[in-house]
Amino acid sequence: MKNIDLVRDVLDTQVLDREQRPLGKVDGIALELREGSPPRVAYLEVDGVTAWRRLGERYARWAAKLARHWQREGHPFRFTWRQVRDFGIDIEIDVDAERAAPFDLEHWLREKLIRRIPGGR
Amino acid sequence: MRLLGAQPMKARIAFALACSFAGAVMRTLLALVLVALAGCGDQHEQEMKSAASWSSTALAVARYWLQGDLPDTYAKRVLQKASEELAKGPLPDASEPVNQMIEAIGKRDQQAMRRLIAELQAQ
Amino acid sequence: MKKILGIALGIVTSIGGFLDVGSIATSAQAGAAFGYSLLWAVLLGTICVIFLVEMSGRFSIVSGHTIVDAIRKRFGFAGFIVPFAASLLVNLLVLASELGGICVALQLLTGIRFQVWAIPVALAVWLLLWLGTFDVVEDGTALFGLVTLCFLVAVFTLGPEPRELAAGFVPRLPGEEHAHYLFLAVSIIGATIAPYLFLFYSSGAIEDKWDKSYITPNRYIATLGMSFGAIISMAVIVVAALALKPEGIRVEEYEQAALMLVPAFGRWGFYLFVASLAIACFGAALELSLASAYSVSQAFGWNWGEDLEPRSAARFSSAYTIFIALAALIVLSGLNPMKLTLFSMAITAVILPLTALPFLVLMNDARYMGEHVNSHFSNIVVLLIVLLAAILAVVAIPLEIIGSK
Repeated sequence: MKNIDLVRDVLDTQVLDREQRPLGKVDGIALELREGSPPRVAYLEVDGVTAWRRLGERYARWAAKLARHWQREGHPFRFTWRQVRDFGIDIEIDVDAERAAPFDLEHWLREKLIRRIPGGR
Repeated sequence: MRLLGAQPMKARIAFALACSFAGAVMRTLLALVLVALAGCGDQHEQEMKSAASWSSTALAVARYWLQGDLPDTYAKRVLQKASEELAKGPLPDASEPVNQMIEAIGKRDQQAMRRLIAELQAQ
Repeated sequence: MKKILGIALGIVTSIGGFLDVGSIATSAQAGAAFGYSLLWAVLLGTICVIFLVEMSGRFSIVSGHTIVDAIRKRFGFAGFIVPFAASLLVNLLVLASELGGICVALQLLTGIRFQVWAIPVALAVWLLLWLGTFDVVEDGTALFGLVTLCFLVAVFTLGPEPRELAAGFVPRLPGEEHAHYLFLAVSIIGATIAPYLFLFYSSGAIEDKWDKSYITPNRYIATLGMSFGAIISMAVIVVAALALKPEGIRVEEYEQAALMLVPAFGRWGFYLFVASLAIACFGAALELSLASAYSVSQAFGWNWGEDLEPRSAARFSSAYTIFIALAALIVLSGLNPMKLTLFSMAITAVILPLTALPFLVLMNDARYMGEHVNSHFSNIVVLLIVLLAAILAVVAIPLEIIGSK
């Protein structure tokens, strides 16, 4: 049975969607604690606020305040190991990046900035 | 773990040269640091050097302009800058001929420029 | 055949892209004030950057990661955020210097104050990134950057004494002005080993999809490209030493540096200098903006790539847009461009270990590099030079500030 080092190989690893497009990084890992059994990976999180929380709660609050401008529902974005299709240099999951929550900033910027400036197509 | 002794001759020579170069660099820079820390520069000397430099700049600009090697806009601009710097420093008298040089360019007066060069050089 | 062309293009790109406002400003000052005696600083910086660039290419080829992506993965978000923020800040200062360089070139040409040019120039840089592709940016930089070869031509025209030249490669104490000498040495090293250079190179390797067959070409491109580029940097020192120092002209402002090509080229000399300054800075500004946007995108896992239209990579495109805007503001503030450049270069030397040391760790991590881990030699060379530069910078910067009060 193959062992995976969660911190070394999963945390902060690039996540790709089913079209091999960058989705984000694994910003957080949640373990499920069970009575009498070893902990289990509950889900993996891709969310900027989660990453900043690792520095301190204060940073997370600042990040959350900022992110409220563009975040819609679905935050923090979580996926389970069942959705992982490939795991190597990057983690490929069975999701469409354009429709996933981490892309909210991308969509917001497309609306506010890119569309207003000519040539952005 | 690769030991240096196992490396080919070329690598060892290269390494030795690198070490001597590194050694020379280290020694010089360490010495510099100590000396620099010891004497933090003479303020007046700096100003004199700067003034001499700007005066030389004006002379060079004037000479090059006479040869037709510099456009008027740029020549006037540098002389302007030189004049300002000289006026601030320990050689304020030098800024006067420089100002006149600017006028000479404006009037395309080559003779005046030659005279001013001699005048500035004398200072 | 394609590989040879690729190597040639890579080398040409490196030549054209090597000279930037930092190299020009520091080299001109060094040559005018100290003659040939700071040539060793360029050599030292170049040796280090050759190693770093080669490592950067090798890293991306073997690991499939870009450096920034890998640093975050290896050290975690918390461990990487401080070097990351520091390098972005320094990038901003350097970008402001590059934009300032273009504006100064225009000021030299037209007489109109450099601040006026800040917005048009920033707009031009931004427009090229907005509408262009990676190849256009790279190839354009490379081609136009060849104008800087005029410095090399000038060296041959002016004919320096070879023995005196060679002496400049041996580090030696100058007679006086030690603090300034030290500061210039450090600034030259900072200008030569700009971190954005090897970070950008890593992104380029990924964007061009280099595979293992590129390991040897990468070595050639890194070595030859950086060497040729360094030769141009050295040429600026030599030309300044021959054209300005004998006249007693020191380079305290760009106006004085602009005189240095006149003895070699006559009337063309002034225009060649202006063109070289403008073009070298423009290319560097493009690279720097892209490099910063790459860094941010790779750090947070966004989609990135110059070949993507802004609409497909809005975060990436917004990143470089904001960056260029901020840099333009700094230029607009009227800060003396020459001073800004010199200090940015010195600060680069201070920050260098923060980026280079984590990178060295990666280069020795077999999980990323497999059998292509660094040799002891590479590690020692980079470690020595980077630490040396940083320590010296920490000493030199306060001294320079005190000295220029």
